[in-house]
Amino acid sequence: MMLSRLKADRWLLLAASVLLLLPLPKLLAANGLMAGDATALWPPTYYLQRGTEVFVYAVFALSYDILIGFTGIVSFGHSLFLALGAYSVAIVVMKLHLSIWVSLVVATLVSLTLSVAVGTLSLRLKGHYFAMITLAFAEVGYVLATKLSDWTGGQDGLSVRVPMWLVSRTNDYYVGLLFLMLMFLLVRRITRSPLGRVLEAIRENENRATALGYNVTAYKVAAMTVSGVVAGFAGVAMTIIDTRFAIASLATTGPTIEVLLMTVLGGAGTLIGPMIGAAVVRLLAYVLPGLTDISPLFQRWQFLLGLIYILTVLFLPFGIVGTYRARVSKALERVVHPPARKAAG
Amino acid sequence: MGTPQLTLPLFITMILNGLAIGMLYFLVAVGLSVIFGLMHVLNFAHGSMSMVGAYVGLTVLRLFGNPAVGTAPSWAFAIAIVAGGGAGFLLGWLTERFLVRPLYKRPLFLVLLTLGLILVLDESVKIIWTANPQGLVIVPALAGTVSVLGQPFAIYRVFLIVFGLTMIVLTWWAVNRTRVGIIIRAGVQDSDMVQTLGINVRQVFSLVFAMGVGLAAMGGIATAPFNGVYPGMGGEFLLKAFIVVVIGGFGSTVGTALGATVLGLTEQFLPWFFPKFAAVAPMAVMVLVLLLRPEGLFSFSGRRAG
Repeated sequence: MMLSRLKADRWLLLAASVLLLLPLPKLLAANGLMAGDATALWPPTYYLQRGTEVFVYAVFALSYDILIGFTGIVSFGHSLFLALGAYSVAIVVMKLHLSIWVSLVVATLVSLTLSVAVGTLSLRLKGHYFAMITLAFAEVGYVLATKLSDWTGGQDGLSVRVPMWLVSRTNDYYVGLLFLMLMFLLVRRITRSPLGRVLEAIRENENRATALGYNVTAYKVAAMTVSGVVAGFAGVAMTIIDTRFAIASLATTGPTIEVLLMTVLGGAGTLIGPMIGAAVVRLLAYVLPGLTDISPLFQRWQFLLGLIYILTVLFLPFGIVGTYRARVSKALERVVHPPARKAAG
Repeated sequence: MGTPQLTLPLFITMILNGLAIGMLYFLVAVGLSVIFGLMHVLNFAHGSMSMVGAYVGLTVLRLFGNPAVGTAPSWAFAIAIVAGGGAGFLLGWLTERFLVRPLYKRPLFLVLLTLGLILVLDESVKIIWTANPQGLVIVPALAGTVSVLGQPFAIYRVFLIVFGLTMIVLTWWAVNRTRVGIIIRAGVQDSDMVQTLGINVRQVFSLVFAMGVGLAAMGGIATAPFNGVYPGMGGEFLLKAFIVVVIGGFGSTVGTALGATVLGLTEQFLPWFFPKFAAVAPMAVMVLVLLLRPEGLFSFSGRRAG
């Protein structure tokens, strides 16, 4: 009973956070920020764009969590799928001059095909070898993106023109929030399905899962496919509602390390964790450089982030949410099964 | 196409260039290879550590003059190599002792840790030395060119070939002809068994980690005269080192030397014949080797990757 109470609380918390996030544009407007208040520190759309960015990265982190948190495999080339989504949109819209809706279909197909292909090839390898081969694949993607400049714009990248109704940052914000909610529900559905259970079994003990008769490689490819497609969607969202830009550096190790940070910091293997991690990392990326007056060290905020991350890996391996949950379930355990009193005498 | 004809002198200078760069790749990669072979730690921060060594070496060099215009004496460059290597040694030792050691039982977190180290090291370098490239280093005694069958060839690259070959021989000697080397080789085969035989493998772990990073740091400062020292070099080195080690096979010094030479030569000749695909080719080779022969092209023991 206690446990179901806790679960209900969790849903309440989620609903509450969505409700809190919904009226942000209205609040900003009410404070005169939307009207282009000259005294505002940043233009009002700034805050909305930061919010949108967090939503996009949260989806990217969710996709990575399917691999690292639920299946226990570390890909070092996850940024490839982000770039694939972004370039699919940019090329379909700007080079083929088709509508943005077509680009959504193309992006899905491209990220689906490539994640199956990369997954099938690279998941024959395990552990470190898998990490290395995924890095190589992402690097191939990066080099191709810079070399095939007729299609990709080379080093300069491609900026994307979006339909008028998406030019509004307020609309972007709402689309982003909706997108995150949909992806959260999708990933939640998948991780709680029988497929998700098998993935967790693989994470806990791969040999045992094999011994039980599961085709471990096939399940891992399935995980990689889901993860790749969701990451592709994140790339799509990034180009449509956030940066409106596809650039080769999306395929480098930079975004992979960042998403790793978000996932591990928030708590790999939970779904709330990576989303919180994404928010923390992206917001710190804007808050910390602002503290340069205090110490020039804040200019290089990624250094601090890296330190926090290493401390997390060493001392808080389950991240913020994972550790919190472990605490709560321990406390619950004490309530349900109180430690036996010492017998008197 | 307007490519000049591939004459014999040109061919030979290209081979020499490939060898010189291959020597650098050996220095950077050999630590990665032996560390993984012995402790099953894939140090993703290896390239960044090599970069830190390069920066330290450059800073020491600057104590003696301005290396960018060649006023730093040539012997100071030797000191810089030693200082860079020493800094790498220390960095490697500290990393193994305080960060890697608590995590040997949790391999997943070891990968996560070294990935985080990339960020910390790359940013530290930018904090200390700014994010701007530091420019080339001129070593007066090694500046200029010699003539190889009428083709000019940089003296510094001759030095690199000699230096690299010396380091290869020294490494080979250390691994194959010393007591510690025997423990290392036995440890690569089965470190638990070595422990069982009453030898403290853990101590050797620290030493190998420190030596490996030290060599990579030497490689880092040794590139300064023709590529300069810059914040992105860590990532580039890491990728090259991966390619070398995958080709050569993990845990083998001879394999690493061969892999490094192959990569150095390939990078010289591929753009000549296939200018379009030269940039992708090393990665493609790495993918193919990983898929078809994950124990490495030059590994003859038949150990399968796991």
